[in-house]
Amino acid sequence: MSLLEVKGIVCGYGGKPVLNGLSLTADRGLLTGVIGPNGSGKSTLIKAVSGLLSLSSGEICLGGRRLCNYTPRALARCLAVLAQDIHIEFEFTVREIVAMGRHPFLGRVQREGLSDKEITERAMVETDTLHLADRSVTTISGGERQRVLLARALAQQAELLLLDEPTSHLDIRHQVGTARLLRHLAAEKAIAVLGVFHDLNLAARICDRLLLLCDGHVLAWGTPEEVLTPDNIYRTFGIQIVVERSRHSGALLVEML
Amino acid sequence: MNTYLEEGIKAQRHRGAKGFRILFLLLSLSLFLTGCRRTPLSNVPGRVFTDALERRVTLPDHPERIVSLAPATTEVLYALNLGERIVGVTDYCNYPLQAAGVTRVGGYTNPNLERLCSLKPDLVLAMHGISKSVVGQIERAGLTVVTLHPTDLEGLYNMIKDIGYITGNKVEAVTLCLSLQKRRQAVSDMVAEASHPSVFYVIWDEPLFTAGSGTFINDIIIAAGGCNIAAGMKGYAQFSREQLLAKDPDIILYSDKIKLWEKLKRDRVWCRLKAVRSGCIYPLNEDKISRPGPRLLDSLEEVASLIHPDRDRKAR
Amino acid sequence: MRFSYRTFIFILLIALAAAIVMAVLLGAVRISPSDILHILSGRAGNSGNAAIVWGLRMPRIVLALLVGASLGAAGMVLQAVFRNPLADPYIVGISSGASLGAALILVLGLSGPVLGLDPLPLAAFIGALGAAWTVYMLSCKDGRISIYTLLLAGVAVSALISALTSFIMIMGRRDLQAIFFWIMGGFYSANWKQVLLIAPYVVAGIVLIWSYCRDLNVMLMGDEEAQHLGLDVEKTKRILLAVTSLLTAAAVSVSGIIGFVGLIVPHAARLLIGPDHRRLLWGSLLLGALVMIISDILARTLLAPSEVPVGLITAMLGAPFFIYLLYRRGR
Repeated sequence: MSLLEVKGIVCGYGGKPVLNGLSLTADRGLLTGVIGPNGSGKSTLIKAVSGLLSLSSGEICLGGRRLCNYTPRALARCLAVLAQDIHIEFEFTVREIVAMGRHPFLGRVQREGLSDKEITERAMVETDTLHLADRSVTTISGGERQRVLLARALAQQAELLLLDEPTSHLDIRHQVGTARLLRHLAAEKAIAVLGVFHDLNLAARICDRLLLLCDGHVLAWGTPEEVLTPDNIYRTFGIQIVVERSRHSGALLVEML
Repeated sequence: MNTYLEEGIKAQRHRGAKGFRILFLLLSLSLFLTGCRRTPLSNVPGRVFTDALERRVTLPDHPERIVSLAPATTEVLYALNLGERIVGVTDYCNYPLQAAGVTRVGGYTNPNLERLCSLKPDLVLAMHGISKSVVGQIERAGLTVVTLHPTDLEGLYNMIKDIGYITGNKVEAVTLCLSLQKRRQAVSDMVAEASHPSVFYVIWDEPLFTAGSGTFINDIIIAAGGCNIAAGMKGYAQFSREQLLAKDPDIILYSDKIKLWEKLKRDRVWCRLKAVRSGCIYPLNEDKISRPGPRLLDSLEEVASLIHPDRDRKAR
Repeated sequence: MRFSYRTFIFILLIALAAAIVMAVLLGAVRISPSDILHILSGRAGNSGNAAIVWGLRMPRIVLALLVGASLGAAGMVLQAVFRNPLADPYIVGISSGASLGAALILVLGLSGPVLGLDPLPLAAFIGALGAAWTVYMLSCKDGRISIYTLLLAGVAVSALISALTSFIMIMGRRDLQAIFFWIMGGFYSANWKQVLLIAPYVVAGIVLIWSYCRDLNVMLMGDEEAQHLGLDVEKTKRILLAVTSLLTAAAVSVSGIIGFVGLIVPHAARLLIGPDHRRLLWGSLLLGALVMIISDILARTLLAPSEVPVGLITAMLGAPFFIYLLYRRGR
């Protein structure tokens, strides 16, 4: 049984459905990418899976249990969400932000324990943000902030990681680093990762499975080779591409014509 | 002579006269409509009176339609048996009961000018406290307005005599003054050589407001043989609760508008006051004690008997 | 510009202790420090001065402490819920509701005890909560509270209730001055009964807020983010709004409308010790208490023996500081 099962969901905003009968699964140890043009419902999908949107029909099951049966606290222990970017006006330090990831595990008046501090520390190491630990979050760059948010998501030690464009603000070095980290998490820690990607090459490179969305429907679902065909891409994005294997890394390369 | 020409001239003259008549009618109509905008009746040089605002006012000989813009003057007018001549009073004129039937013209600082004018008074009596601009407005409307300002018991007698003079009732006024002065003297005699218990008057309790020097309340307390612990303050002043506890007056008087006795009874701190413990805490009708009218003497007698109950019995 | 947390709290405690000492020493009646020591140690028995110190000054100081701490804590919570460092405890209509309740009682001339309680603070309390509840109801849609709507509803309801209060004041006429004094705020009628009346609410409210401090941190991330981190956002908002309303209503019922404290104190504390609410709460409580005691001292002594309403003092101190904060923000 998959960790995450989305079955025929229909949902949207203000009565207008964005996703029309969408189904997908995400398994532990696999990095699933969601690609598609703007407005195809990628962010909506993330919102629905993270429990923020109510469904008109269909259901979402996490770990065998229906999403609506989870309390926010229980859900936060299984599911971590990395938003695109958040605007923080208040001057928390990076360490304080990352430590918030431990919130679902702490009782109302419980203080952070040694293990919580260790987990926070390790999350910062893995995302290369430890050197920012005592800096105010309002003074760091967009890219650094994205890594801080990823660290917070890691501190949650969730089984399912939802990412909405996790590398959009990052420079190449950090893109590579984050990509490696995500692969490592999926493989070594048996975490299921479901991420939205704009960069087709990046998606092709790191994802085990790809989901191609078009107008709220799943157009293609499978391995990158199966999904990233010129035909599929033309039907969704309206552009011509050529797909070939890289001579150096063996990874799939998508080139626009 | 051409008859047509004659007819024409006659007709023209006729039309002219008609025109004149129409013009005259229109003029008098406009004068009638503007009502109040007519010159005062007493254009004839008459009695002149200098009022509290240092204005020299020409008085009508025998005012028949008087508007009283203060509860105090209303009481004095009724005391001088001039009730039938009163055509307008303020909303606050609640004594005597006959005043209830008289037309109301609003408050004493902001009377309704329209209503005031519609009553066509020949005399308007006002008290200190009314703004100069309002007085000016009433004047401009062509009415005779006199302001009065008694500041102590002596001033009260003067005010009564002034009103007597203004309304042409000097005799009644003097009689009234004499009787008031007699009562005042009776009280003085009663409290002579008696002790002077300390007294405190509560106007409002939260925050604590009392009457200091320059108020009628203060004058009455002193005339009644008491010692106002707030005499060091001027006018209506805020008093500190700490000082009240420290000075611990023998007697507490309070305005009947506040239910002070119930409040003090329930409070442990105030039960320390000897006035509360001995029950020497009495409500007084605030109108009677703060309005400069004949009833001030009623208050004086009441306060004197409260402060010196033994003397009072002796007098009887 | 951040102070070390410990240093800051230490300084605040010292300042607060000093302020309390000053407040006990100063008053309309001069009592020498040695007499005061005598009285405080319980050896003076039941003398007149002892009554002044224990019966008038001490309850006043304690009440100022409680009210200052309440407003500081309530302001801190609302600034987190509204995610705006310039929110204020009166924002949900509490000040206008309380004024209406007080005005009604003063105009109707009720002074006898109702259910064993003084009717004036009771009416102010009910008015405050009534207004807050109305604002909350207006901004609650499908079980979700929109902060934006809450703000607007607060403004609208406040305006309406203020108009009603003004109307009552004009009708009342004679009692205008009394109502005015109440609204301007002050501790001139402070007694132990009032302290006992509000102490349970204040203590319970502050303890509850303390238990929600980490949640407040998370709430600052935004509604969605907070949800993702395990916070039941709507339930938390409801609870926090209810607690702050209760705290503020309790404070206002005994002291009238004392403005700026709920706005400036948490803001200043945040500038000095940072936004972590687990620390900010202590800063807000202590600073709020300190500001209130100092304001009360000034109110009692500036124009002695007259008292300036405390609300005026806090406005005179708070407004320039507020302007300075706006200026700094703009830079």
